[in-house]
Amino acid sequence: MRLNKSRSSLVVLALVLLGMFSGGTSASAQQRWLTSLNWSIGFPSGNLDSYTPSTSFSGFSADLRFLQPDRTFFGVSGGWNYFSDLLRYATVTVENGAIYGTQVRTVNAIPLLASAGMFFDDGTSNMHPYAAINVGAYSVNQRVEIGLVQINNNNWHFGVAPEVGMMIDLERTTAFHAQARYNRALSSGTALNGSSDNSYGWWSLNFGFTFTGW
Amino acid sequence: MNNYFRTLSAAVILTVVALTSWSCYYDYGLSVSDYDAVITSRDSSVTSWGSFKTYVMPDSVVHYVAPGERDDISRAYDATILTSIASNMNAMGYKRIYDTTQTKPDVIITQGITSQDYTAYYGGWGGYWGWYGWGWYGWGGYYPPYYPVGSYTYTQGTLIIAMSTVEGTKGADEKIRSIWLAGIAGLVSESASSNASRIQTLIRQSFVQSPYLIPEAL
Repeated sequence: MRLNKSRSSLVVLALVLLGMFSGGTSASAQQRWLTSLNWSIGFPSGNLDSYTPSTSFSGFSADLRFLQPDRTFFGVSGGWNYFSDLLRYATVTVENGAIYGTQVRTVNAIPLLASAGMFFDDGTSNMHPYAAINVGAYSVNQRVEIGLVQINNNNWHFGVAPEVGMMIDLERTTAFHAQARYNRALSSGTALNGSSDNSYGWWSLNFGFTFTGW
Repeated sequence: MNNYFRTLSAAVILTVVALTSWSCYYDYGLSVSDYDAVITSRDSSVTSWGSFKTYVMPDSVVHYVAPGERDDISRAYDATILTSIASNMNAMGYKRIYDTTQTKPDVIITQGITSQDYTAYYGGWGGYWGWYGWGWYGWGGYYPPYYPVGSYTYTQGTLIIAMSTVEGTKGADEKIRSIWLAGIAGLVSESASSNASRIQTLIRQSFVQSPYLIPEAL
């Protein structure tokens, strides 16, 4: 299969992931690193829903967060969501004309975010609900293929992503992790259809594991 | 035990991510006809759409060939193209003029085709990594193959239909102005009957998506 990606954004994401697995310095019992790896399911909304309405099961998210004694945390978060849809023999009306053909529409979105949040429990139970806010940049590639023609639209967007989640201890240093996040990449550049509103929004449900003390 | 559990958990989630995420270019199983495309465009300054009722059309299809190159384009589909354009124009309500010395037509229909051969390479690194082409394909650039394993060629055919008006008096003042263009492109398959059928379908589509061409009823 072919992977189409924004090279620079993936290099940054790779550095984030590398940092997750190399930052294993010791910390106090009340302070520790939380590393999460999750499978991400994306649900398009707004403009993205109009372009590629299908739910995406191709994605992942990764978080590296440092937990403070007061149960707050800060860190970085990254990931990737891939949206794709097929419109067979569709006609699109454009200014003074029309385009007909089978369209393969895709959107590749890579968030690179700084995050801050807090846990709502005191750490003594096995379940740890939390809320966080993520702010940063999204690298978004919007692409359409009609016939033998492919048109790409790449932009960096400023964005925010509020999230809520739950960690459930499995054993001392591993927890199951469920996370709900709304990604909002604000408008930047021009959309493929010429619209000045080139914003993207999608909900994501992320499931995975959180590891502590790396 | 803790390390084992942690390692197992990481392996599970990475496997799930790999299976779902790394197959990131969905293979929709497109057929040859899925690569067909029709683009139509009209002159926005024309305000008399609907007033055109008669047309003239030559009985041949022009082959667009670069100067100095041999015309290798097949004429097997010329008759299909001419018949299909005329039938669609007549179905919309246009009347074809054969003797322009007696009656001046409202519009002139011209048609021409071109074809382009492409070579695509695919490389392997434990499997199907990707394929690249040169010439005019999407990006319009050349990408060297990476550990090429094989190659294949394909031919793309393009049909251009133009509707033009003649303005001014005959002679030096006469100007031919294109008011509508249809570009039809697709892969040339090995099946002649399939190619002919798709040509008819796509020519009809070019008129279907241009309803402003229909003459106003008298």
